[in-house]
Amino acid sequence: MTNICCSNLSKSYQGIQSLVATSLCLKQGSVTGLLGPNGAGKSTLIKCILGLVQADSGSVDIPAHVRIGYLPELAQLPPSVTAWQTIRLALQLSNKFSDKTAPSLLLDRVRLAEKHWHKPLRSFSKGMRQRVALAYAIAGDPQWLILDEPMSGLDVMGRKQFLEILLELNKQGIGMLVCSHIVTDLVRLCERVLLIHQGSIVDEINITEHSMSEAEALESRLMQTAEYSHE
Amino acid sequence: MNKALALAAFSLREILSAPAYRALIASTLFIAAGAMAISNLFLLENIKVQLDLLWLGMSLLTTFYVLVIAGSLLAQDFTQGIASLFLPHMSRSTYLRARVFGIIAGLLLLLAVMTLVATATLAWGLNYTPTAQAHGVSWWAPLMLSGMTLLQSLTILSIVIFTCSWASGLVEMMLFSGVFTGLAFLLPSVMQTMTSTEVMAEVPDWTAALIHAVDYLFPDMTGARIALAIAHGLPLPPAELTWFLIAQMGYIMLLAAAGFLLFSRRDL
Repeated sequence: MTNICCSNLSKSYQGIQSLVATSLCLKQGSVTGLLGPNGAGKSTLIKCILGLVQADSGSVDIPAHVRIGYLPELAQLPPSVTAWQTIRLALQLSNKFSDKTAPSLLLDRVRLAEKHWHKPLRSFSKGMRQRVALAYAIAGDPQWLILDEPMSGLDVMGRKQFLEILLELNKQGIGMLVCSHIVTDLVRLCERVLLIHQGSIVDEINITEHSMSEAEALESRLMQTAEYSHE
Repeated sequence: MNKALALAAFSLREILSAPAYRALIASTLFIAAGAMAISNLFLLENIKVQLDLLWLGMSLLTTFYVLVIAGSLLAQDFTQGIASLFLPHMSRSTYLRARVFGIIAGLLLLLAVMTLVATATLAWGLNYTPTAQAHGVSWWAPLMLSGMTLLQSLTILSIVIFTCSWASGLVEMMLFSGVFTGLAFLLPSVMQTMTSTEVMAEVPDWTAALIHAVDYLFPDMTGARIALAIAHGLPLPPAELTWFLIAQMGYIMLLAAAGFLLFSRRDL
C-alpha cells in the first residue's frame, strides 16, 4: 500500500497558528483536493507532509518506498538553464536517466512544444514553466503527486490542457493531493475535497458527478465556512 | 551518476549560463587592460603596481561572484521554493553540499581565467620593464595571489551560506551578506588604529576589551601585507601568513558548519 497519512499536525509561525491538529489520510491512486481561502493553511499542510516545514507536533506516515512528485506554488525554476537540462537533472536525481530521449519524452508528455526545449527558463511564460515543473515532478515515476495551486495564474486554455494532463496521469494510477482555491478545477479533478479553514479541516465533500452544480454547492459551502468564522 | 555530483554539475551549468557570470569572465580582460594602463602612469616599479592592481581586480571580481551570483542562487533556492525541487531526492545536507560544490567550481573557473589573464599581463609587462625594476617579481605571483583570493572568497562564501541559512527574504540575505563582508574588508584597518598603544591607553578597560573582542572575532579579509609581499617579490611574513591561513580556515569551517546546521532546521 502507498497510503499517505498524517495525524494531529500543528504548526505556528511567530505565534500565529497555521495548522491546528490536522489529520488526513490519502488512499492510493485517489485524488483529494484541499480547498480554502488564502492563509487557511493549505500550503503549510502540504509542506509539512513533504518535510519542507517542520511541524510543531503531530506525525506524517509515508512508507519508505513511496515516490512523491511535488509541484510547488508559482513553479519557480532555475532561470538560466533550459527545460531539457532541468528535466535531465530530475531524471538523474531519480536514477531514471537512460538516454538522451528520456527528457524529450517527458516534455512531450506535458505538451511543451519542442521549439522551447532548449531555451532558458527565464524566457518562459507562467504556463510553460508550470508544464516544465510538472514534467520535473513526474520524472521520478511517482506514485503520488502533491500539487500546490497548479493552475493559478494560467489562462483558460492553459488550465484546460493542464487539467487534461493531470486527469491522464491519474488514469495511469498516480494519486494526487491538489491544493487550490479554484473550485471548478477541484470539482473536475477530485474525488473528494477537504475544506480547510484557519488551520483545520472543517468539512469533507465527496465529488460524484464532477458537474457545475457540484462546483456551485462546494463554493457556497466554502463561503458559509468563511462567513461563519467572521461572525 | 551520483545525485550530489549531478546537482553540483547542474549548479555549475546554471552559473555558467548566467549573463552576470559571462560578464565577469569578460571583465577579466578589462581589468588586465586597466592594470596595464594605470601602471604605466607610474615611473618606477610599474610591473609591481600592475600586480597590485590585478590582485585588486581578482578580489573585486570574486567578491562580486560570491555575493551576487552565488548569494542570489542560494537566496532564490531558499526563498522562492527552488530548493524544494531537489529536496525530495536527497537530504538537506547533501543538497546544500552539492550546491556549494557547484558554486566553488564556478569560482575556480573564474580564478583560473583571471590567473591566465594576469600571467599574460605579467609576461607582457616584463618585456617592457628593466630587469632592476622587476627584481623579485615571480612568475608564480599570479597563481599565489589567486590562491589567496580563493581563500578570501571561500570565507565570503561561508558568510553567505551562514546568512542565507537563517535570513528570511532575498533582500535580507543579500543585505546581511554584503554588510558583513564589507565590514570584514573595512574593519581591519580601523581596528589597527583602534588597537594602537596610544588609543588603548586613553580608553576605559571595558572599551578596550570590546575593541579587542571585535578585532579578534571579525574576519580580516584584507591580507594586504601578504598580497603586497607577493606582488612586490618581498619575503612572505611567516607569522602573518600562518595567522591569516588559520583565521580564514577557522572562519570558513565555523560559519559553514553553523550554516549547514541552521539550514537543516529551517522551514522552506
